[in-house]
Amino acid sequence: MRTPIEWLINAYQTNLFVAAFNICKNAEDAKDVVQDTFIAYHTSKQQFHDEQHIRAWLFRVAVNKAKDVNKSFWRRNQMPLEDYVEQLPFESKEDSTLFETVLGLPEKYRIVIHLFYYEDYSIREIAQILHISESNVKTRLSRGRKLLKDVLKEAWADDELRKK
Amino acid sequence: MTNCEKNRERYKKAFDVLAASEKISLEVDQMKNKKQTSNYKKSVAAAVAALVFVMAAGSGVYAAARHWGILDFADRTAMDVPEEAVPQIQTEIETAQETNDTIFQCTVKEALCDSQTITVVYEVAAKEAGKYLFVPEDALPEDRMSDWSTVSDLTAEEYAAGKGLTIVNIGGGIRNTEELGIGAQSIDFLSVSDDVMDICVTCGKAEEGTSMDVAMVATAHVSGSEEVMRLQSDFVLQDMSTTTSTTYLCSENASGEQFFEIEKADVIQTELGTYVDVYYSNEKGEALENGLSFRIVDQTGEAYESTGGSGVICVENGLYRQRCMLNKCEIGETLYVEAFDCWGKEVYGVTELLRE
Repeated sequence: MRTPIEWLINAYQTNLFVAAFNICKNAEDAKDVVQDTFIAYHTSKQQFHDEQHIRAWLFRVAVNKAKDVNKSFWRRNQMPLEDYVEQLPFESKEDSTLFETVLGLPEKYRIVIHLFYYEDYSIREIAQILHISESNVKTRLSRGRKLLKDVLKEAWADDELRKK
Repeated sequence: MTNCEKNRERYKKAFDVLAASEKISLEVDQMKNKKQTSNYKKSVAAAVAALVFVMAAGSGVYAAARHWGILDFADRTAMDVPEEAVPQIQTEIETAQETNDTIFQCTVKEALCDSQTITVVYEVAAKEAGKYLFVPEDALPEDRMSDWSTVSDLTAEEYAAGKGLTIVNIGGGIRNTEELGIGAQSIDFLSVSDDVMDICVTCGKAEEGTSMDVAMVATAHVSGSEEVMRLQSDFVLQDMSTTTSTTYLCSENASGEQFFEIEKADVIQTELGTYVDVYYSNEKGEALENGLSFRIVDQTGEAYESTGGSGVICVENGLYRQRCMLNKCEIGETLYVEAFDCWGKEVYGVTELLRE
């Protein structure tokens, strides 16, 4: 199946932007990633099983493009991240601290943390999106959570699954 | 509400601010007319001779307590150490060293290997504390300390001058490369303190034994001196991994009308990673400047993240092999191999191979 691109843009552009920003840490680059992702969908001949399949595909492409931006020598000239974060209207200091702490995580943990907590993807779905094993996803999630806990302390609840 | 749900709620609240603040409004018609710009990853085939490069350090938030381990170094790269491979990290490593009159001592801290790769972390510490500033082998006096240390953003020269220290360039690697079938080594540095440096060496290997003799060399070059001090540590490395190998074949002329033809690929799985050996013929020969390289992609053309690769190896007359190293992943019934020119931007196409 194929869904009209106009519908997909309405449904997913914001979430893709937030995911791309999580990786690029730059709003203009993140917008470019979103645009390129939808162009990739438009030019692809890929058929999909259902809407969830399309959604996962869009996130996979967006994550890869955002990673490519990070590796690229040329970045869009933009205000420093600290200045950008300062002007975001957080409701509380706790929110801004969590935001900055997540952006301070190593990239490979940030992506998994974001897909898990913001996009509600399961371990299996994240493994399929990132092309890594479920074991790797669990490891990255566990280490990312530990790093968040170390910095945020009580502001981050201990939600690590422990082996019985 | 579970702790996970609480964290999810906090996370969404923090990041919803971003969603609300940026008004994204893509122009659909404009987009439909835009051509997709392709980003080609530039990857360089490793040379047969040992190649050493230094990688940049991370931020100061996650500073290690006493020494940096394999997992800490892996955090800074694309490499993952899966949970099932962690128990295979060896820490109680007996080493044999000759007595020496160098200014440093060397300890092998951790080692991990499977049938395909070796990773070793060793620590170089000054015998006399408070005199030296240890910096990576290729570091220049004007390089920033933050490239390998979390304590300062001054240049090495400034930092050393401020504390009255003598700069010493620290390096090393595995010495018996021919015996172990090692082609190239990557080396990363993280400072523990001014005169204690942890070094992580990672390389592919061809040696198949489960017990390997490794000769590790640490070097030190005191600034202003012509002498390079060396200290060799010998130890035995155990391969505790389990390896499986699956062959994928392609139909005749699957590569199309190209100057190369992929014959088959072997996918090797261990607890640590996934290794894909691509076997191919190349009308242009094996020379590195030909640029023919391979990467593994999925059926939509998206590349799997690579953790490394090998240079061109001549298997037999006219048949060559290149390796793609990936984080542990599952390859299904079909393997998609994309060929490209690593020097230019040309992508030659994707070849489908089916599990034998």
